[in-house]
Amino acid sequence: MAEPRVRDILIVGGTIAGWLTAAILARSLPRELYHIRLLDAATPVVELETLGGGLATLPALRTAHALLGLPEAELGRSAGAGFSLGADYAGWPRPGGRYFRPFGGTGAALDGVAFHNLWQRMRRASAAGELEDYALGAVAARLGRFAPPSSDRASVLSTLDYGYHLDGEAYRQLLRAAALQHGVLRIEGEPGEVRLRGTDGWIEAVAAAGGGEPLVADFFIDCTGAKACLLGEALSVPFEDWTHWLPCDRAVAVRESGEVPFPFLRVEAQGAGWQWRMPLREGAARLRVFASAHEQADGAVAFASGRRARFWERNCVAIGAAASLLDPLEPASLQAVQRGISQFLLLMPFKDDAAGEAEEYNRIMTETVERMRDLVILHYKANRREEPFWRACREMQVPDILAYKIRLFEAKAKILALDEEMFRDEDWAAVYLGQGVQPRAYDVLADAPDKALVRDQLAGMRKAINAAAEATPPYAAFLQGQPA
Amino acid sequence: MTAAALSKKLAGLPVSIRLVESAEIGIVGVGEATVPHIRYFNQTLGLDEADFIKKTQATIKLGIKFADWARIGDAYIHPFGEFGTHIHKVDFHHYWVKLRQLGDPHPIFDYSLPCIAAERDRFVLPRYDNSIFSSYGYAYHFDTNLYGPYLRDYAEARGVRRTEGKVVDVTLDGETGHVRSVRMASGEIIEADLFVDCSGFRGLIIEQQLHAGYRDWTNYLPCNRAVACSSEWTGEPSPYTRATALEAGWQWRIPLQHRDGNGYVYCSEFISDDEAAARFLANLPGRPISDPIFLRFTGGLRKTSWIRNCVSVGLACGFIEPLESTSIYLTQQGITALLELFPDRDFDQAGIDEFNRIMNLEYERVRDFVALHYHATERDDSPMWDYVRNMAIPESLAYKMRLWKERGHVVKYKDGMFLEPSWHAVYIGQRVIPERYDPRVDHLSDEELRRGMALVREGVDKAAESMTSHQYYLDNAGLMIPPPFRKHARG
Repeated sequence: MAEPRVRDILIVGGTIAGWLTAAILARSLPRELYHIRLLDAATPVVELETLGGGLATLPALRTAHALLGLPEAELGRSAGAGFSLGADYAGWPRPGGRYFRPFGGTGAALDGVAFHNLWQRMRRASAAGELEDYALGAVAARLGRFAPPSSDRASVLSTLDYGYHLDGEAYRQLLRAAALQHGVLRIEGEPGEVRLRGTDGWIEAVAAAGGGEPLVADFFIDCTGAKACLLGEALSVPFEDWTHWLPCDRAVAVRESGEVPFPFLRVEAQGAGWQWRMPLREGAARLRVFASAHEQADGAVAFASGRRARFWERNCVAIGAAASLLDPLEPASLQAVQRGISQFLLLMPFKDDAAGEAEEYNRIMTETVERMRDLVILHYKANRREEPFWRACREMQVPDILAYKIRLFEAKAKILALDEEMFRDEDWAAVYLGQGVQPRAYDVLADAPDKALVRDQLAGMRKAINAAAEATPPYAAFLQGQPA
Repeated sequence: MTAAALSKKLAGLPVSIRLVESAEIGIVGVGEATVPHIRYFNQTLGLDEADFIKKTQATIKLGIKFADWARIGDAYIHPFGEFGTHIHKVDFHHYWVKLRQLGDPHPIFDYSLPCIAAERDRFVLPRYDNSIFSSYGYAYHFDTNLYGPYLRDYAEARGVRRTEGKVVDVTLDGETGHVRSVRMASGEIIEADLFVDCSGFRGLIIEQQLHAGYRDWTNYLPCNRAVACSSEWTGEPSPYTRATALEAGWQWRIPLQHRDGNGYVYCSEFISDDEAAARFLANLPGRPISDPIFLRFTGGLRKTSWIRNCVSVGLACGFIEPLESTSIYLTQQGITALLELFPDRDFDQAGIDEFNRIMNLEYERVRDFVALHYHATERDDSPMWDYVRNMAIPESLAYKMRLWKERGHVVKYKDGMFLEPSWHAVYIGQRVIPERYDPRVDHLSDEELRRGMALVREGVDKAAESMTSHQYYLDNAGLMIPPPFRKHARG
């Protein structure tokens, strides 16, 4: 079979997820075999992640840019890209508390024993600093310094990694330009009526509101954001609400100017939620997220964490907020989008009956978004604040798999990584320990090496990290050296 | 293995290890075939490869040659390595599927260096330099009668106390149900905090005392007997295991330096022991040098592999027939999980639950992979093949096979043996060929595809020709330093 029958793909919604999907599909699929169009409204959809104007991303987005041939200089020039070494959580898990979760590495394993276990051992013997003192990313961030990772594995600089702070609207336009360049056809219009086939309820066409021919296609990708115009409204795939685990449901955003840039995301816990400050090249984006059950504010945008019961239904797949929407505490929304796109490419349907593909896609994406969700829930669950909101979070019953993971961590500091885990063990370790989850024991093998050896190793790491951090340029100086 | 690994990894901790073994329970010592993870095990212990090869009469293993499986007359090698290389982020087999649809006859195995090297009895150490020599890993065949004592010496040198004798009684704590002690035939009572049941299939403690229960997988893996013996050296050993399908099972041949290990794994429903032995002996590559021994087993897994303060490892935990040489691997996974979740005296249930979860996953995933060899066959020459061809398979396997057949998609997982290339090899070797390929393959024109694929074949051929012989490597082991084990042939 040389010719696939699915040839016409209509992406509905010019969201960031929509344009990223369009650009990657067009870049990956042979142009002569596929016809990819995107229905893009004249006014952009309001997206939770970019409310304050800024979009925070994880390091993995860089692989998508590499595929698209989108140079970093272009991001800086056109999308005001700032660099982020991780996130600083202030007021977590209690007022006055804080911790840093770096995107790069923390410490180094010894004889196969994960670093946080070695650290536990030394910490209990009062012979170790904070966990983040062993992460160059955290130390450099604290000093307001930044450097890109080195490719020399022997250098401590190779343990660095970074994400971006982007101007959301500018980034959307950059992706649109990339998609158009790779052959995507843009059609302007709001998504209107969705026409279903009488026999089996598959989507036949989507009309652009206010006229024009209905857009007929073989396959439809719903990137309309939380509304999920196709998957939710037209195909009636129900929404599974997660607000009993992630109670924040309102967001207010402001763009600030005059901020001195710093190379990380600052996330501060508040009475009934939290707020982040995300420095861009120019100014900063501020987003405040809270639970309406505990606080009211004018002009707040409502949202709900949750996911569609299925992401792929009949001849429609949803990517982005149309598929799942997660409390933006972790800057991971685009990672779920990326994963959705790459899985879709692997399972690209050939014909109408793609039930097998849909089942596999739904299995993988369900696990992916639920494993991501669980780390966010952990931030809320493991807290020691006294406000009613936080007390309720502490007392909530978490999903079974997360409860199982927490129990295993509390018993022996063991981090359980399941098949579709997107966050690294190091991310989990930083959040468990940062949020004050105290393990009763740790890996017994951490006690096997000679104590002096482990102590010296930790001391050596700290020394090397401090020296390397001092040698990296101040963030502002680094930005000035970047092409603008 | 457990004693050796624990003595090494727990060195420096206030832990004392005792091993109780009975000479009455023999080892089935006809030669063992392994998977590459054995190198990780040996490297963790710090064993010197040259010394190990010498002392256990070991040979190199690049894969398994399956003969007569899908059809009589078929043969393919499941290699420890990859086929071709990724192009545009698309797995290589998609390109092969398209080329085949264009009428090209070359089997996918022509694109695998370990397959071609194995066929030509060649071997050099893999290198991790992103060249074609980084596309494979390797394992060993060795003499279990020699590896056992080798590990015993190792463990005893590291403080493991060994007691020879038979366990005649086990005492449980009346209140907690924990195992308190075992009583030896000599009258000695041995107490411990943790008991590791390595007593083999019968599960002396885990089953006989703690009644773990057993999940019987005979319906998926019907073979339940084996007859085995060693045969005389017939020439330079090949760097692969042979698994030849017969009417009621399959016969293995494991080449060692000094002789061959052989066995016939069969299903008692379809052949008697006497007939099986006769068939087996007639098939031996050389003259037998030991009397045939008969074994009985039931494929399956303990319902709970760790209960209270008793953890079962190896055959005491579960058994999957040796078609894919996974017995030592599964033992090793048990040891690894035990070490990762090593208990305190409080035996926290969280760690125990996790051990049981992970072992369940490991065994089930191996089970599916082994069952695939039987189920995906066109053979209809005997009742056993009729049975397996038509048997109901686990839904987890049926699901994987559907996605493969329809579009060449392999269901991936993080934990468990057998990465994607293994599934590619066995599906294709068993004549399960995907109907469609990844559309991204069409980036290449037919002509570009033909040319590119010919280049890959030539590269494999040249690389195989440049290798020295397997025997040369064995004779000169120690001159070259093996690279560290990696789970993925290519990182």
